[in-house]
Parts: sequence; structure tokens; C-alpha cells
Amino acid sequence: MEENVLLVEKKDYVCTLTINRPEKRNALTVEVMYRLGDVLEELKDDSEVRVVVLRGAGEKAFCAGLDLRGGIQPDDAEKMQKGNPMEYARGSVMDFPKPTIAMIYRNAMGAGCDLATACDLRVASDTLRMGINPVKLGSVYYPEPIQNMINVVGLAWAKELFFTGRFIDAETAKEIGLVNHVASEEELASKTYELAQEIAENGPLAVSATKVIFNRLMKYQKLSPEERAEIEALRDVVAQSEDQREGMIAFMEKRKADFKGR
Amino acid sequence: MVSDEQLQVEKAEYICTLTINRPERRNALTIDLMYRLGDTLRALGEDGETRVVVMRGAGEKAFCAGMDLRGGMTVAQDEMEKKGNPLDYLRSGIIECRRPVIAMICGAAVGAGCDVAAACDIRMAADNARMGINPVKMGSVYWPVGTQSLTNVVGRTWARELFFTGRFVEAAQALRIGLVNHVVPAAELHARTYALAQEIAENGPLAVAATKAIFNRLLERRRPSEDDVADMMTLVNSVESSADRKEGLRAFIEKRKPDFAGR
Repeated sequence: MEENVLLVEKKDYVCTLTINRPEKRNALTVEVMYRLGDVLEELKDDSEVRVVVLRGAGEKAFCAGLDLRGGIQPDDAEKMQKGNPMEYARGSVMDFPKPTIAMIYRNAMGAGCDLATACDLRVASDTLRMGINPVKLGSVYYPEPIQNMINVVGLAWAKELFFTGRFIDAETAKEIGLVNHVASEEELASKTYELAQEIAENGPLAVSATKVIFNRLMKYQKLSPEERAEIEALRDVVAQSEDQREGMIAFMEKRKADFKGR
Repeated sequence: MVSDEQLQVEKAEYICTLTINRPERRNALTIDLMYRLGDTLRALGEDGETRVVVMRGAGEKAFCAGMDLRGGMTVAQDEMEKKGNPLDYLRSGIIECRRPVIAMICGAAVGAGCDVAAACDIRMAADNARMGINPVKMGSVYWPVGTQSLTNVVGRTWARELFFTGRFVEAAQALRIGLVNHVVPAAELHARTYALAQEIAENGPLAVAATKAIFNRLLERRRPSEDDVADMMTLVNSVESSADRKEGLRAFIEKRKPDFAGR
């Protein structure tokens, strides 16, 4: 596995993870997602790391979504072991026992928005565009990120975002609580690292225990295997529908989809 | 699914509008009306021509000013037995409706009207909106399921303040606490609501319906169990039969502040 799709830098107790595919607007390949989970696993017990900052390389995007065909494909053994790559990455971010900050430069869409929402805190540039839009393609998103979104912005706005599939700007994101802070593009990094530093100066055991408490408090929200199966069945029905095909075709033909409800 | 005087049902371009049409009573809900709305919402879930539901009140004064128990005592006993508490029937009709339901709120959405609006998926309010649930002011307790659904919307901190004070909040405050998604000038309310409805109606209807089902499934664990509801209803009923409750009603009718003794 090549190291360079995900850069890891440690400095002053802050570890920066940079998704390094700027030419693809940092879209997530299977390789990036597995690598992200693996690195976080290693950093868990690293006493030199108290806070993690997750960001994208380049000037175009934090992360523009998934790129399942790009990059190096993992072997079957790794797939078997780690399961669905997005779940693996998201789960690693959420379960990571220290605070994670998403530093969002411009776009955080689809899986990029999902990953940013799984982080504990979000600092965004004022040029932000953020959202998850599969309904526009006639498709349903996954339950865990929907739960994350409910936890972050509340029920009413989570519903508006997922029903419309709209991308929102920095002002709206700030207003509804989807991001904690907004800064100009020039000041984004300094603002993000100030926040990271502020946390890193606190008692690391206390901060980590606090995060574990947050996670435990949310644990009841995890779906049981039965509930998951039920939701997967629901998603399968939609995945096999004519509408889903029409959504994909319309997307590729760059026209509005004509959905029939079947 | 027929329109009658009290409930208007209109469909256009995949959007079905349900209008509570009792402007002279500020669209207060009769028992009959709650059952009709509940029935209609259940039927709309299966209607291929409906992708989004907009709920509104007729006139400019109110979305819905609460319950009007005088208005509809003519309901057949067997309907009550079959459908249960009429407000629960309406609320569950909204929540379980397969389509997103948008509340378009002009003026008052208070008491059961606030409860109904909070049960909707998205709320668009005019700047003259006033919202709240105030039975405590009359020495009375609100129902547990409505309390839960409002708590899911604004979070427990604000839900407690609203239910403990019985205060009505203005549009700007409702926006701040997340009780409504948007506040717009009254003159733009209609256009903005239907632009949002249109935005959703253009998306894949199966995907939107499945997404709503996921939301409901994720929230299910936050619903009280039947035993919990039964316990809470025992508590509610003990308050309903208290001396304070009688004093609260009397003071309300006499338009004075109640003098509660705590028994």
C-alpha cells in the first residue's frame, strides 16, 4: 500500500491527517478509507498525539465524495477483514478516543460530508459547500451518518438536508450548527490549529475520558443487527428500482432526473 | 380522501396540500377533523401522485390554535374505539406518513397546533408565527407522546423550558431554538414553502420515503415504551383530577391568574 494517499504529520501533540488526492478533489478510494482507519488505530495509544486534524490536500476540496474505482484496490483478505470501507473509516473516526477536528476547505460532499460529520468538531472556510445528495440520484444514504447528522444539527435540519439533498453554504452551516466555526480561506488553518492547540493543552487523560463518555452516551443509538438488516432491506428495494437507474443515467447525461416512484 | 368543509385536500405537481379550514375558530382541531386528517395522511402514503405533503391552516391568523372540543363531540363511539385518542391518531399519521410533511405556519401554532407542527418533518414559519404548548398555565399536563416529539425537535433543554413555562415563543426565537427551520416574511411564506416542497418532490420518491423511514427507525428507540406511557398517563390523570386543575380552568374562564395550592 502506498503511503502517500494519506499524509501523517505530528507536531506539538497535534496529528494532521491529510487526504492527499488533490487532483481528484480528495475523493475517497477504498485504499484511502482503509488507510485512514489503520492510521487512527495506530494513533490510539500514541501519547504524542492528543488531537487529530483531518483535512484534504490542495485548494479545491476537503473531500468531494467517493471514488470507488480509483487508486489501488485492496486484496480480498483485507476486504474480508475490514468490511465496508466507508463504515471502517467512519467508525474509526467516531471511536477514536481523542478529539478529531475536520478542517474543511471548500467542498465536503457526500462521503466527504459524512466523514466531516463523524469528526467531533468542524472548522470550515467561508467558501464551504457541504451536503449529502443521493436522493437527487434516486438513492438512499446510510443510517449511521443520518444518525450523526441528527446528533449534530438536530432532527428538523437533518431531515431538510437529507430530503432535499441540497448543498449548503458556510453561513447556513454555521447557523444550523453543522460547523463550529467559519474562517476565511487564508485564516482557516490558523483558526483550526488554535482550536487544536487549545484542546491539546488540557489534561489529555481528561479530554480522552470526556470523549469516551460522549461516545458511551450515544451508544444506545447504535442499531441492533436486526434493525440494520431491516434498513438494508429497505435500501435494497430502492437500489433495485427504476428510479435509481434513471437517477444515475440522468446524472451521467447531465440532465434532471424524471422519477416515477417505482 | 375527499375534501369537505373543514379539511381541504388539493394536489398539484406531486405536492398534496392539507388545509385545516376553520379560520373562524383559528383552525382549532375538532375530534372529527383529527380523525379525518389522520385517515388522509395514512392514505397519502400509498398515493403515487403525492411525494410531499404540506399542512397549513386557512386564513392569516393561525396554523392551528389547538383543540376545539366543543366543535366535534358527534364522533361515533366505534371510531374512537378503533382509532384511539384523536390527537395521537393524527400525530402518528404525520410521523408514519411515508412522505415528508412540511408545516406551513402562519400565525398561531399553539397547544395541539404546536404539537402537530412539531410532528411534521420540516417547519416553515411566517414572521408572525407564535408557538408553544401551555397547559401548565391551567394546572394541566400535556400528553407524553407529544412531549417526546417536541423534545426530539428542540432538544431537552429548550423542551423543558417550553413545557415548564408554558410560554409562547415568537418566530425569531422559534428559529433560534430549532423549533422551525426557516422564518420568512408572511407575504413570502407560500412561495418559500412550495419552493422547498418542490425541491423535495423532484428527488427520487422511493429514496426520500426510505430516508424518512430510516429517520423514524433511528428515532424509535427514543419513543417511550407502552408501559412507560401507561405510567405517565396515570400521572397525567392524577393531575387532571386535582383541585389545582379545577382552579386553573376556573381562572382561565374568569380571565384571572390562577391561585395554585399544589394539590
